Amino acid sequence: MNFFSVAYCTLIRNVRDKKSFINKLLMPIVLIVILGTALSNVFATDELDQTKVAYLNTDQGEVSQNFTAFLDQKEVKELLDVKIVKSLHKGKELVEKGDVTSLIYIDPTYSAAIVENKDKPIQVYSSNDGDYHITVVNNIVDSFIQGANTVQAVTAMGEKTVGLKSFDLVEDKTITASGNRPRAIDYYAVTMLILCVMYGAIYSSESMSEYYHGKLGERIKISPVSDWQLIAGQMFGILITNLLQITIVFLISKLVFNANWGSNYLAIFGIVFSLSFMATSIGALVAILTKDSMRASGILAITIPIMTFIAGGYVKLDLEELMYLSPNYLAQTAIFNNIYGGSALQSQVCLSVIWAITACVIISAFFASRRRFV
Amino acid sequence: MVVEIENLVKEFKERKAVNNVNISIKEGEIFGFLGPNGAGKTTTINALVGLTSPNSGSIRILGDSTAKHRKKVNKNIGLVPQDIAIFEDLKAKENVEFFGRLYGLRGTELKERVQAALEFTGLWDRRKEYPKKFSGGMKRRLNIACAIVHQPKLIIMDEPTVGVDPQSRNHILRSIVELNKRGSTIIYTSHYMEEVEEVCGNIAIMDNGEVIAQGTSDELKKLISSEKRMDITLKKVTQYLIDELNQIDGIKSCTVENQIMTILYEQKNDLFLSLVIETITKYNAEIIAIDVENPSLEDVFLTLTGKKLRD
Repeated sequence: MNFFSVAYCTLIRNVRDKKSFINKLLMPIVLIVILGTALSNVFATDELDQTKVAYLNTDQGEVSQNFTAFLDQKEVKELLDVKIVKSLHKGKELVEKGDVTSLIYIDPTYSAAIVENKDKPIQVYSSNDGDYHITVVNNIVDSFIQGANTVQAVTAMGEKTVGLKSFDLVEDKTITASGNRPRAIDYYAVTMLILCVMYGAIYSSESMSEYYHGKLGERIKISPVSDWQLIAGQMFGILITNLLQITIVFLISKLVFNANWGSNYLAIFGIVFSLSFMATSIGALVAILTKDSMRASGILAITIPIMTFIAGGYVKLDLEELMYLSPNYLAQTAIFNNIYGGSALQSQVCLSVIWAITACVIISAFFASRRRFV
Repeated sequence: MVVEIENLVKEFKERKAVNNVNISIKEGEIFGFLGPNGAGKTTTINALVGLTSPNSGSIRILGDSTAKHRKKVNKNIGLVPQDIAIFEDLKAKENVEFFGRLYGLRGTELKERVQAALEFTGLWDRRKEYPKKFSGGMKRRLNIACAIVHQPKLIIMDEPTVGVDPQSRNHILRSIVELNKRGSTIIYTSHYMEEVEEVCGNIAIMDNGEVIAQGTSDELKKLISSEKRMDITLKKVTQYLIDELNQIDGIKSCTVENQIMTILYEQKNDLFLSLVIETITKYNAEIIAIDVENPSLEDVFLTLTGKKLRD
């Protein structure tokens, strides 16, 4: 079948062109290193230091004892350095001196009021210059109160008390030191891989131009090979070349730079394959429309970096709706959602848009190719 | 008939590149297309192979209309384009294999045909080398190998000897005759008349998009059979001398190139040659050599078009 002949020929010619192959491979790797190192501060996650608090519990009831136990949990201790004080006066003094951020105070009637379903807060005294540490204290106290309310509600419905172990709110928050956010190297590994994929469009335009224009193109045109076999064969050859490069970039980013690619490699491959297919189609269409290899390559060499920039591939940007015009952004969004547990629906939408664009481009390329000789 | 072209017209904007061309080529012929650059040879060939669509007229190859059965027709055509059209980054054998596959060859048949094509063009020993290491002549031969690998019934060679060394040129000319002996019909275009005269049976002379004469070499020469040609090498030539020679009864044309005066004439009496020499002597032009020849295709072309073939 001529499809495979054309694909094989395209593949070995691309791979044998070592200079071009290595250039297209090295550029994203070098950019991952440069951008991943130079912009690492932009992506740095500030670790939360411990917040010092004074704690006074003057209540002997069960609810306040539960709160004391709550403060003693490992996850809370990572965030709060609790110092038990013996009097309200001593606690306030520590706050005023700045030795602690806040004083958590439970008055003697607290448990009784809660049991009777009365509104009774845990009181928090804070200094005026406590910055985000005050927020940390307030959030932790709120977490307990929400948990306690839940326990009470469950109990009221006739269930057994589930106890304090159900309080896992703090553990789930991504603001912990080990939070799941990309480092610069993780971010650029993805965006530069996408850039590498998009450069498949230039391969495609160069190959299509050679096969469709000039003397070699004429010679192929008069052979019995059909248009669809010629286009599909070339696209397949270019796709394999592109995927070969992408695999190398992926492995280097993963094994050498230890970039985070998540655990679902199959999904990542699916997204990258889709984008590669789209890039190859776009390259083919540009080559067929321009009827000039140099012009086609020039257009793509300008457009691809612009698309990468709009998508925040070089520097993180927020261009809102404009970003959706970039195919890079669609693929990036799908990949980041996959790695960092984002919206599966958004990933599916992005992939659908990529395939819709690809279908339009292929149909246009097919019709344009039929009109190229008049 | 292998090729039947009827009333072929191809216009580019307002210029008629091919104007009402009619050509018939029999099976087993080597058919020559003669004409200067821009005469319409390549446009006619492009219409034959489907690289350009004619504005009107019809083309039938091996009985099939090219307008209706393009793919079927092209399976039986091997085109050797004027410009070398091979992959520089594929080895010689891979190039021939690629084109063989495009024409449907597979497996053992492909291997045998590739070897045959490379042996035929004298490149089998260089099959593992990239064409970028080849000389111009070797590239031309590889260009031919790619066109004949599928053993087409009709081979079209568009100026295949342009810019090649004498050794490759002779090899190509011998190849054309050999391919013809093996059963292929060949269309050969060139502006080298001696090549066309050497290998072609029927010849069409084109100029300004029209076929101005058609026939065998002898038939074409008979068109100007009463004329003869004389080449006189002179030490110096003046316009007065040329003007006076042109007034001699029987002289059809008198042109000068590189001190060689070419006179086409019709000898009307025995004193004609003496009269010419006397006139030249009168102008002290000093004759170095005289060569009297029967008319060539070049003379035919010159007479029919009023210009030299390489103009």
